[in-house]
Amino acid sequence: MTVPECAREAEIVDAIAAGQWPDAAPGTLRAHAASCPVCADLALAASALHDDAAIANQVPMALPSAGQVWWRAELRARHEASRLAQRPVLAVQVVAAVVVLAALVTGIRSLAPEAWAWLARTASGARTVSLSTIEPLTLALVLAVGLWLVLGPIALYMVVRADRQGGR
Amino acid sequence: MTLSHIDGLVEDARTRDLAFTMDEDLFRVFYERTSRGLAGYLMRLCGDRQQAADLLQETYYRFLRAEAVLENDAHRRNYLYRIATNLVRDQRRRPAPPQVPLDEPGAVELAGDTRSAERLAQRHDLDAAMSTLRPRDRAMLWLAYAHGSTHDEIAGVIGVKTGSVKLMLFRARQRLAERLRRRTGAATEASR
Repeated sequence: MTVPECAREAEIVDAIAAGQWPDAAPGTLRAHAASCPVCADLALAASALHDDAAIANQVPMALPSAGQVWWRAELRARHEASRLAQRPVLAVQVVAAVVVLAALVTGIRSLAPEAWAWLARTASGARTVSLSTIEPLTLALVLAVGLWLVLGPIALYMVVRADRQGGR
Repeated sequence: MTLSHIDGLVEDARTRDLAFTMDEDLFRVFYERTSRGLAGYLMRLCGDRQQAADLLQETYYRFLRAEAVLENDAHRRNYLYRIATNLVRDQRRRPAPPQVPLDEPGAVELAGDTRSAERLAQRHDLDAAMSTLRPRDRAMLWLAYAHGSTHDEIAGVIGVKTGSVKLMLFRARQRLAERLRRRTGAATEASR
């Protein structure tokens, strides 16, 4: 599509930019803008926007100072850098926790086979015995281990989180 | 420190094949020169003072973090406006219609005399008319007629070909003029 153009568009834009539109603009130019649809649209839209920008410049705006913007940007950059740096650390911590758990299981199995057998017996017995027949000592032990298994990871997570927040 | 000093440092960094990074003093000069215009642009684009303030901070943050080598002041300004335009575009999915409240700070002082009251009313009409346009149209119109950007600069900021700007600007201008006339006509009818 060909854009409808007028040779006097530039004159109107210049007059608006110079703050001469409409009162201080030449009468012939105003008369032209009144009769030319392209220039009429241009004069109406461009002068409204130009006046708007002029008013916006007069209105006191609560802009943050350059120093504030600079330091906020600096702080944010540091936070982001530290967050990025901590990502691999967290991954290493998870891997380390899994490795320790696996080593613990392997260690108990090879170094203390009686303890492992007892654990296996308890586990298989738990499937068949009811709470009324189980020994109180065994029950307490099972509950303690269960509690540790549940609370241990939560405590670890809280410690790691507090450590990460403290590092910021 | 002046902007030509910044240009000199950029040139120096380029000749030594180094990435130019702004320090606080350079940024201060750049900010003083650009922040007011950028705030007005963001205000006109998103129509919300708080959102414009947030986007202003975000725009400068991204500008500072970018490692682009910008040759001169015009490039830096265009790059800044491009970031701002993209940020506004990203926020476009939010449903709130753009509205500039008439009781914004400064409105009362401006309405002090008849001429100012008239200008304030015109500004209100412009707010309403602009809010019905697409963000890209708003950006183009503001850049062309409030900021005085060339077609080439507008193309760089909004991310289109320079050759397309002329037609797009023509259409956006037509739409704005039509809406302004409609509003002015409605106001005249209402005052009768």
